[in-house]
Amino acid sequence: MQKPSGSRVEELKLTDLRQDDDVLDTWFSSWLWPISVFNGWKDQKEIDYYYPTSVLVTGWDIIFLWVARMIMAGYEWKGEKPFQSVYFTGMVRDKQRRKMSKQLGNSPDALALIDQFGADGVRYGIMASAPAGGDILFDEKLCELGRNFCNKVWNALRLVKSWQVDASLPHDDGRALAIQWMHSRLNAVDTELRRHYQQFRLSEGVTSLYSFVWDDFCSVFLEVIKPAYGAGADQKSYDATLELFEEICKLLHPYMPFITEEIWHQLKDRAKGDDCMISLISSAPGEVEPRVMEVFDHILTVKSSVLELRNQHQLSPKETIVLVFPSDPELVTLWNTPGAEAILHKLANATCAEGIGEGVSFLAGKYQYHAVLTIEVDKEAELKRMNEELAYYIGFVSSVEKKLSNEKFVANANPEVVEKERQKKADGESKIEQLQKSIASLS
Amino acid sequence: MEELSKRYVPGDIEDKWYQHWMDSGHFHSTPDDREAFSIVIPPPNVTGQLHMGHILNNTIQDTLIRRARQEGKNACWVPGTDHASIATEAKVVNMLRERGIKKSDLTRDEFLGHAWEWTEKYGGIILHQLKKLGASCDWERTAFTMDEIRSDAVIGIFVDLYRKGKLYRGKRMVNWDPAAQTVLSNEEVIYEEEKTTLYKVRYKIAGTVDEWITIATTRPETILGDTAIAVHPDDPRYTHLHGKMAIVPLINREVPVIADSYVDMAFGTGALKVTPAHDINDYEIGLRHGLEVIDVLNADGTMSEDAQMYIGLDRDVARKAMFEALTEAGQIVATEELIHNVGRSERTRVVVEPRLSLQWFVDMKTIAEPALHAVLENEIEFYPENLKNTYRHWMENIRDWCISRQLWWGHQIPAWYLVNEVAGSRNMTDEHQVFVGATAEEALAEAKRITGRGTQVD
Repeated sequence: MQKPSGSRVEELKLTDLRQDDDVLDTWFSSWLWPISVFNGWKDQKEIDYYYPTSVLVTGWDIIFLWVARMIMAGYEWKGEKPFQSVYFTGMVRDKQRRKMSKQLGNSPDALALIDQFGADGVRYGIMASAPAGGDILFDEKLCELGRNFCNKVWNALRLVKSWQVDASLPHDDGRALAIQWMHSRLNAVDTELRRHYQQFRLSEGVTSLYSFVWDDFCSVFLEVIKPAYGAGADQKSYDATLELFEEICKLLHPYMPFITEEIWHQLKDRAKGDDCMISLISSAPGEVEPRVMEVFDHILTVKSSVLELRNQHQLSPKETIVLVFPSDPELVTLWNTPGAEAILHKLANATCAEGIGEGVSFLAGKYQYHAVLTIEVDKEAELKRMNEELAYYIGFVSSVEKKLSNEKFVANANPEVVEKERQKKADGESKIEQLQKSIASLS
Repeated sequence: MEELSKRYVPGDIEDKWYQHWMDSGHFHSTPDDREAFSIVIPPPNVTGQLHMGHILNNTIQDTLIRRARQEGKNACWVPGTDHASIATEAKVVNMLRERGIKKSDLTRDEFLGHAWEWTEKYGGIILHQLKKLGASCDWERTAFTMDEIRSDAVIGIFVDLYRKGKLYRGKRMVNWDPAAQTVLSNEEVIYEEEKTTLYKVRYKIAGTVDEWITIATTRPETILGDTAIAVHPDDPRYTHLHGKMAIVPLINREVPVIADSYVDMAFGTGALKVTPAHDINDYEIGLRHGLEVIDVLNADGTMSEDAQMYIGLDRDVARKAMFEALTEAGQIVATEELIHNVGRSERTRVVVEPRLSLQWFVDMKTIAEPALHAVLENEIEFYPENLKNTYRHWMENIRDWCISRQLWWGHQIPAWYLVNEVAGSRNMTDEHQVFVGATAEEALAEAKRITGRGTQVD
């Protein structure tokens, strides 16, 4: 700029200037966060390595205030996105669907919850109810569920730790089969979990782990594998159990870090640095053996039927029930699998053999079994029950048929879903056939 | 090995393992040959307390980061806190009030001293609470939006945007306290129901002998700043008046009758006087229709030169005078009692005046463009996906971002003005020469360059 000639203009000094009184909107600093936390305008090595970040986890209520602006800042100053994905969480609401707030006083004291249920219990509680984007209706009961889950796993540890290895004991077929099955189940859950993580379905992930650990590992596997009362454990079973428990700790760790770390160290003496937290999971899930799964699934189905039968006829669990299954080649092969019968005996206190049916019949999958009961069967009651069951299945099959005859459904639904419906129909029809036979033989 | 307790007792082991993980350096990350997996925490308010939202959000992040670590990635979760300008300033103001200190009695530096003291006292509590939850953050990286690195970044990009021409100052409605003569944040305005008078005033349609349009107002003194009459486009009572001119009473200014769907057909007469300088909604209508803004009030709440009448009279006195003059002119149709919400200054209790003032804005149009495409083309993935629609709608209709706040706790705007131009009270409507720089020295150099008042060479 030109100065007026001949006149002296006073030189500006700092005191001639006054800074703007106002401050910047807080979001004007937050929108730089994914860059500024890595000192991204000055530290090239850091920003090049960590940016773009992998995922942002935040509430959908600040999608404009924050998320959109971070994306804009990312492109404006780094020419690149700030994160690969955004996982939007819902709002935490109370049971009456009100947003939790200090004003309403409906927000539980977070630290008190941790004190009461343990950090893992609270983590489980909140994760089990947190689908991406969906609101969470928070209920303390969920944390209680989490705490109970911790106790379940803890008790499993106590059980395993109480075993003494007896090197002289052989490794029997039942236990061997159970271990095979447990590995397959673990691999199946592992596979499922990998898919869930990829899609950020963390809620589904933790619930599938929950039922795997609770139902399969604790209620079935450990029941089969545990030594007979007063006896020791064979070496192979013991080692396999520890190995499986260790794998479970790994999978469960991200959700419940504290208890899994504790168990990890309780299972074995560990070298320094061998922590669950930094244990590596394999790059790909292990194999699932379909045959083992099939055999085991059937055993578990029969087991449930036997339990039902015991309830129905009020039979003592101590009373061994003799089962007879029809001479179906598939079924015969299945029960010839080494260890299959032993497992049924352990889980249901039942034995089974091929033969002609006499006694109380029941369905396990598509097969009709008979239980040879030493009690007097109330024919009338039994007929009534079977007729009711028959009516149910007739209705069921007809509703599935209706669905399948709907052209729109068949044309638009996922082929897997359609196939499932067809399977349901076939299963229902076979049950009807079996029931009709049983009714005929009784009346 | 020690005896296992009968029940799982979290308290026995949680702190032990957390400390073990910390001591082992498992949370810390530095760049190496592995694939990086990084998450930045949504920074909680520095003086905040852990609530259920945090538990949800941070459990998810911790689960993802722990899983990534087990997948063999170099996992890095960066923690930190946010200075939360408004919330923190309000907390500090309250704390001071309890001690009998008024913010207005303090200098900026004194106030900031208290704010930093507060931040140091309560800051970081929430981070400690996150540890209780098991959060495996890289604590060595803990950042704060007002620490040196983050502040430098903020100031740096302000200057950068200004130099790129993507930052500007513009007028905006703010809450004005005419007694304290200061801008108030929304949090400092208290709304309460009060009884007031609703005046129904008729305006003559220009070019007619006896055709009128009647509006309802609680503030007849602002009639002097009217620049339009608005009706709802679907209101059959007024369709024939669209595009006609109405005559503002007493000063005979001709203003257009405009159609705008903001107008509530059911309220009053269904016709609205539009005074863009004195009502936020009127201001918005004015922007949509390109209306003139006539500010009829001075900063102290007296009538301005532009009002043409009652100049220098207090707004309350002017209201009564207006009513009398309108009655005399035969333009008051009716008056009625009305209960409505009035905003008063928390501090002075006077009625808050909506007032146009100069604020800083970011020009969002060009900045938004690549960010919109990134999401629409799945360069960035959203879970759940349906939020993409929400995002798109907002980004396609993006408005400029007002980034200045009339607060002290935060990053002070790195813009300087010449002292002689801002002497005395701050004149909100004047455009000043602005000098932007990362430091006062940089701004001075800029000022010398622009004004030509640089180093003198004899």
